[in-house]
Amino acid sequence: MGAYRADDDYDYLFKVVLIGDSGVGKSNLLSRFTRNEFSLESKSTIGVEFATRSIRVDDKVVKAQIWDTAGQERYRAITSAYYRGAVGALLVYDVTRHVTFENVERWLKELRDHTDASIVIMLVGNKADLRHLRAVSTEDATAFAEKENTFFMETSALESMNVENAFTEVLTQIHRVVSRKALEANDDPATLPKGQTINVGSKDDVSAVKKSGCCST
Amino acid sequence: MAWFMKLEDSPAFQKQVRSIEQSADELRDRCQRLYKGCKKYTEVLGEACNGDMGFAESLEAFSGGLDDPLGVAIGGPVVSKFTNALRELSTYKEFLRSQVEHVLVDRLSQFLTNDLQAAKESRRRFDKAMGSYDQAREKFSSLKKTTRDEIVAELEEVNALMNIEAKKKFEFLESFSAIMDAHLRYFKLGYDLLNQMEPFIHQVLTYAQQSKEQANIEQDRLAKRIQEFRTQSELAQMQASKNLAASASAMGTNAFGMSAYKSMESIMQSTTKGEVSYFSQRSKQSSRGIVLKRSSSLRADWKRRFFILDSLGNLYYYRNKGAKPGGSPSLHSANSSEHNSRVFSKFRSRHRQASSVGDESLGCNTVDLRTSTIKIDAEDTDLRLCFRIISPSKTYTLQAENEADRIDWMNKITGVSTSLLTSHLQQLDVTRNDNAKNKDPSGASFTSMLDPNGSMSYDMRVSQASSVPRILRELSGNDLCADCSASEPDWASLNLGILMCIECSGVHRNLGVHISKVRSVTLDVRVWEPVVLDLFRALGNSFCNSIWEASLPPHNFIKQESEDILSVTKPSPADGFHRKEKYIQAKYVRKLFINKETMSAKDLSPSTLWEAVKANNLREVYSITAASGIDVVNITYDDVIGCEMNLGEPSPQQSFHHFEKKELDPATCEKINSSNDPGNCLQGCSLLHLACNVGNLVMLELLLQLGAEINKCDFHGRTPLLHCILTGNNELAKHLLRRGAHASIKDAGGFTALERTMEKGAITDEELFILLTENE
Repeated sequence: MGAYRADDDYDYLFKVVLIGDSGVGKSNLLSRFTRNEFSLESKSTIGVEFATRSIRVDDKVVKAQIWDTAGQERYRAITSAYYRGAVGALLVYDVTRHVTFENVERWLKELRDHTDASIVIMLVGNKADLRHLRAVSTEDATAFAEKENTFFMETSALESMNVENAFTEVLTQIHRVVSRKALEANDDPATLPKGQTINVGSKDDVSAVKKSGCCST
Repeated sequence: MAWFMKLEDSPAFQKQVRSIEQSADELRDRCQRLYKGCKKYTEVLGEACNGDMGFAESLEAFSGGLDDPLGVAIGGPVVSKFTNALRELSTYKEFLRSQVEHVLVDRLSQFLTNDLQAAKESRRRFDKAMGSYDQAREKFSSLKKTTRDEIVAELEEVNALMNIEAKKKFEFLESFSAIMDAHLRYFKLGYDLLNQMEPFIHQVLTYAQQSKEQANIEQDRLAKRIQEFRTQSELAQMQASKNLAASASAMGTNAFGMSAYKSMESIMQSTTKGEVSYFSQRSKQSSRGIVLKRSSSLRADWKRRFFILDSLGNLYYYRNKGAKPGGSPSLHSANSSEHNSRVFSKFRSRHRQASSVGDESLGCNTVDLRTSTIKIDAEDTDLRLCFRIISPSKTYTLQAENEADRIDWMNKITGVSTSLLTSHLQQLDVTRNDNAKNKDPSGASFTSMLDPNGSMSYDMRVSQASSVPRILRELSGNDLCADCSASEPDWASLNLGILMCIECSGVHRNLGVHISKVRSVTLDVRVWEPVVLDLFRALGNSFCNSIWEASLPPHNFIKQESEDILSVTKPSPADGFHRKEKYIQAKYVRKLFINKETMSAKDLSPSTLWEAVKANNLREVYSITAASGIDVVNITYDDVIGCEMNLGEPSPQQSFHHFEKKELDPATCEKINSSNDPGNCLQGCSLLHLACNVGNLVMLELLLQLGAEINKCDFHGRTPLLHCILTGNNELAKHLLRRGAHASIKDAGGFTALERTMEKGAITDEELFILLTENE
C-alpha cells in the first residue's frame, strides 16, 4: 500500500479540532478514537497532527478529519489556520487538574473568535478513570457547559470510556446543523431541485479512469 | 602472681574465684558505663564535625567563588582561605572521632561481649557441673569425690577470669593512652594549621581596616555631592519658577529626580563624531526621572516608573526603582502626585499589539527611539501637557507636570533620536566605503551597542546588508562589472548570476526580466537570501563570462570601422551607454559570443541537462540553458526519453510510456504504489520535479531563476511542491511556497498539497503548516 488512499467514500467531511491545555490527553483521545490506541508515555505534540475516521450518521457516511496540536501556548502563528473551517471542536480539560478547567473559558473565547458561530463544541473532562484524584466535579462542569451552551461529557482515553460517544455526538450534531442549513437553502426555489444528492468530495469523476493505469502492464 | 597457687578444689580456691568473679562483675558495670560515655562522645564529635562542615559551607556560599562579583566585594578570596582551614579542621575532628571509635569503643564492646561474657558463661557451666555432681554424689555417695567434668569446668572458669584480670591491667591503659595520643595529634594538627594562618589573618584585618576608612571617605564624598545636588536643584527650581511663575507657584517644593546633565547640542556633537566608547562612559544617562506609567493591563492603574533616556537612543524604564524614594502610595492618584513633585511625569502607554504584553514581566523595558516619533498630544484634553512617543509596537503617552518639563523632555528625545539617526547613516557610509576587513568590528559593535535588547531583526538586516556586497565581491571575477569591467559593481542579475555596474544594470533592465532580473546588491536587502547567495557562489562573473564571452575576440583585437565588429569588442567603463547597450544585447539576447562549436549537439540534448540536474551540476545546467533557449528548463522526462529514442538508445523504461496525455490518479499507478518514492514514476516530470526529488535547494533556485515553471504538473498532476511533500522534504517545500508555488493545485487523485500532508498524519514544521494553509 502506497501513500495514496482513494478507498474511502463518504458523504460529508467534517473538520473537528481538539483544544485544551497541555497534557490533558488530546492526542490520546485522538488515537483512541481513530486507531483505538492509547499510550501512557506520549510526548507533547509537535506541530499539527491529523487523523481521520468515518462513521455512519443517519444513513450517511461522515468522515471526521480531526486536527490536534500542542496546547502549551495559547497565542501562536498557526492559531488562525488551525481553526479555519472547523465545524466541530472538542475542548478538553483534565478532571484531576483544576487549572485546566479554569483555562477552558479562555480556550472557548479563542475558539469563538476564530470560528463560525454554528460550530459544535463539546466540553470534555478527560482522565475520568483517576477517580481518587478528581479535582473538578461533574456538577461544576455541567453547569459551565449549560451556561456556555456547549455539550459536555466525561471521558477516559485510557479506559476507552465515552470517547466514541463524545466524537459521535459531535459529528451527529454537526450533521444535524449541516442538514438544517441544506434544508433552509432548499426552501429557496432557485436552488437545486429536491432529491438530488450533493456529494461532497466524491470521486465519481476519477473512478471513470480508474481502470486504465498509466503503467498499463 | 599470688592467685591460684593450687588448682585443687579447696575453700580457699573457691573464695579466690568468687572474689575475682565479683570484681569482674563490677568491672563489667563500669565498662558498660564507660562504653556509653564513649558512644556519646563519638556521636557528639560526629555532630560537631558535621556542624563545622556546614559552617564552612555556609561561609563559602556567603562569600561565593572567585568569579562572583558580590563575593569578591565582601572579601570572598580571603574567606575562602578561612573556609578551607575550617574544613581541614573538621576533617581532623572527623579523624579524631574515628580513632576514638576504633580504639576505645570497639575494644570496649569487644571486651564486654567476648571476655566478660566468656567468664559468665564458664561460671554457668561450672554451676551446672556442680549441680550434676552433687546429684551424682547423693546417689552414689561411695564414689570418688571429684569428677573430671567438674574439674574441666572449673578450670575453664579460672582461665576466663584470669584473662579478665590480665586485660584489666594493660588493655585499658593502652587504649586510653591511644585516645590521648589521638587528641594530642588533633590539637597539634589544628594548631599547626592555624599557626600558618596567623600572618594571613593579620593581613586581612589590616585590609579590612583600610576598607573601612575608604568607605568612610566615600560616604563623606557622597554626602557632599548630595548637598551640592540639592542646592543645584533648588537653583533650577527657582529659575523655573521665574520662567513659569504661574504654573510653578502651584507646585510643591521637594523636588527630586530628573535633571539634565548635558545640553542637547553636546549630545548631538559627540554622537555624530561617532565616539561610541567615549559616549557610553560619559553620558550614559542624559536624562532620568521617576514617572507614572499606566500599566498595560486592562485595569490601567498608574505605576511609578524610573526611566532613563540615554544618548544611545534608548528610553529605558525600570519597574522597581520608582518605589524607593518618597514611595507613598498616594502618588497613584494624579492630583497628589502633582502636588508632591513638579518633576513627575505621567507615562501612559496604549497598547496596540497584544504581543507586547510580555514587556511587563521584564524588569527593564526599552523604547527604541530610532523607530519612534514624538508628537504633542492634543487629543486628550484631560491629559494636559502631554506628548506621545509612537513606536511601531506601542504608543506611550507621557505627561509632564509643567511646560518647561515637557519642552525639556521633548527636546532631549528628539535631539537624541535625530543625532542617532544621522550618526547611524554616517557610520553605515563609512563602513560601506571602507575595505571589507576593517569595517566589521566597528560597524557591528556600533549597531549592537545601539540596541542591546531592542529590534534584533533590524540589526540583523543591517549587518546582513553590509556583508552581502562583501560576500558577492569576493567571488571570482565579481570585483569588476561583468559587461564593462567597471570596479565595485553593486548591481546584480539574479538569473544570470552576475554582478555589474549601475550603467550596465540600466541596459539589463531594458532587456526585460525574461533575459535579466536586475536587483541591487546593497538596496534590495530582502532578495539576498542564503540560497541566492549560495547560487551566486556557485557561479561568479568569471565563470558566467566564460560561457557568454567564450568566443569573444581578445581586448587588443584590432578595431575596425564596421558597426558589426565594433560591437564585438568589450566596452570599457568609460564607453558610452549606447556602446554598452549594443554589446550587452549582442551578448545576452543574440548570444553572439557563446562558443557554439564547443557546445556540441550532444551537450545540448535534454538528456544531458537531465543528467546535470540529477548530478547537481549547477554550472553545467547554467551553461546548457545559456546556450539553448529559455524553454529548455521546462523539458520533461518524456522529452528526455524521446531524445534517447531518437539517438537509437533503447530505453528499458519506454514500455510504460504510451504518451497518453490523460492524467491519472497516482493511486492507480503501479510504479508509485510499488514503493513510497514519488520519484519512482517520472512520467511528465520536469527538471524542477527532478531537483525536488534529488533534494538540492540551490539547484531548485537556479532552475526557478532560469524560468522553470513552478507549478508544472507531472503525468499524475503532481506539482514539484507535491513531490517535496511526499518525500517529506520540508525545506524545499517551504522554499517553493515562498517562491509562489500554489498549494491549492489538486493532483489527479483530487488532493491538494495540504491534504496529502494530512494523509501523512502530522505536520511537524509549523512554518510549513502556515505556508500551506495561507496558500490554500
